[in-house]
Amino acid sequence: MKQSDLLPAALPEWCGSDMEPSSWTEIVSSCTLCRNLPDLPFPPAARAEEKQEALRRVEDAVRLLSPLQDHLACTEKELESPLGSLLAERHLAPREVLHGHGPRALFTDRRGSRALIINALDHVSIRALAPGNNTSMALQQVLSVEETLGSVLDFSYDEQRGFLTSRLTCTGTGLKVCVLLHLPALTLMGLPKLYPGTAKTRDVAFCGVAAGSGLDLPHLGAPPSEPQQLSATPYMPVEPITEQCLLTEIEGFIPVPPEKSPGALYAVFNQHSLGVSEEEIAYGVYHAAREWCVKEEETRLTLLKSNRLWLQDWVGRAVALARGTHIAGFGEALDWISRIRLGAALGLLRMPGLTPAALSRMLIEIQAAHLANGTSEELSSRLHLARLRAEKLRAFLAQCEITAS
Amino acid sequence: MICQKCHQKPATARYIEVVEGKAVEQHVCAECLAKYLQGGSEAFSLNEIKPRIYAPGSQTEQQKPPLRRPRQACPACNTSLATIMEKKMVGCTECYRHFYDTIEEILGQIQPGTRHQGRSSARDDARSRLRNDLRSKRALLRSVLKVEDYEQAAILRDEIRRLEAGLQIGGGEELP
Repeated sequence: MKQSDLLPAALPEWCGSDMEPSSWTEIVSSCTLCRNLPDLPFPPAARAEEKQEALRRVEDAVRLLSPLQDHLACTEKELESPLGSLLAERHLAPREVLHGHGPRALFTDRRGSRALIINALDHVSIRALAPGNNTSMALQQVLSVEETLGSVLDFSYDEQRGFLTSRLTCTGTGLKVCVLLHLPALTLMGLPKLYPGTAKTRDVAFCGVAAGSGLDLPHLGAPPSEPQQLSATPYMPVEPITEQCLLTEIEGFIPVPPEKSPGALYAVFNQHSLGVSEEEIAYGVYHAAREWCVKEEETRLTLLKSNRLWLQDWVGRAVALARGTHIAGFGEALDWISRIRLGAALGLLRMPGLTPAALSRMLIEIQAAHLANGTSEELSSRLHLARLRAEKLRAFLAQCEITAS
Repeated sequence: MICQKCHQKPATARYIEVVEGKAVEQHVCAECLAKYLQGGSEAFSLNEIKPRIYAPGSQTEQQKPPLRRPRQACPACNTSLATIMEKKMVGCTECYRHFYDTIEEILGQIQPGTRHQGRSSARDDARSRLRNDLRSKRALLRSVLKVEDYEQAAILRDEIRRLEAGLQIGGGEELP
């Protein structure tokens, strides 16, 4: 049986067809709200029996109130299994809970848009995902779950410092808001030189998004004969399995310097949580993300006007490579999808169903755990995943046409 | 301020020790503080630096009240002060009380304010929540006006009016 059969939704709602992201540039928004029980040490400092007690209390509250309605519960063992990796690749399970120790659990809703995580860095972390740049929608969802739980659980709270969390960077509202952006035109124009402006004005950080830090997927152990560096093409190696995913941590996507970000993917997230309200944080991140997107859209139009032929070539090459590939590394696949997303947004490509949501789904489906889902042990290795990824790309782009100049 | 011990990293902690009957203050980075906490005063000689000495009752002392030297580990969860300073991670609710001054100082460095502006605990009564909502919305209105987002500002103005009306019906005091 496929591990994904255990998940309530075939794919998360935020990249589903019925909830199209609002634009080609803003992919997904996430809010994570952290809370702790006042009389128990926070998970990083707690003993196993204290974590067990926290888990018992929160689980009881979840079962009593069903704040996520119809949910799937994942225990510690399941989080360590490929199912945990699937949830991580859907941005529901942050890596702190994936790589954590001792009693912990995760509940996710039927739509794959909300998760309640127990014993990551705080006793309770509530996460909601919304399509596009929709931080207020994600915020309302986490606040609604918190309010329900708050009716039976006491959370660690201080009149002056607000909600007390394990990280001082989160104290106050306990809120982390993040928006994932796709900025290929700005990347082409040398984005790192342009970036300091927006970040400073609204206490919002801007960063690249790291690939990797996933689980080893132990059932996918590479055969001993497999070379360390597997070359997919003369240019790009196939990465180790642990680097074939885009994971998140509690604060949002795993940050890297903007110039090292794969697939022109970037994230904006709040740096402060004390002295600002939840709505201010969500609005600040929303506005900063919007500013980036406006710059991106302007740059796209400039590029299209001044360098249309060059852009067509750049996008067309990506389509040709992706359609002809038989071994696709994760990094290069991200790069092709990025260029195809840009081409589709600018009308340089024509294909039925080539929507922002379909390309967001591809971002999920080309990750290691999703590709490995349901494969048998003897077939599984880095190379096998690279073959499966290539098949997926070829099938997706089968009907893609490059529009005439 | 640069660490007075290693003269390289920014100082994140302030220490007051009594040396020969006089209070000696020094500003140190998290790493030097951790060394001190592990190795005791021998590993961290106060004689190596030139301390600023404040006479009791002097103006300087009044401006910068000396911090009480915090105990080294939280009595509830045993998290050390060095861990809190280095990793900016706290072990339990009690740590926030036990290391009050140090945490206040760290929060002052990494957060824009040290007073919570957002929602309150669910245990608080409905009126208190309403007041908090009103405070949050007013703060948000200020942010929105700063970036000249007048459409959003109009929505917020209406919400603020509704909340104010709700508080007045209940006979609540007006917020500043």
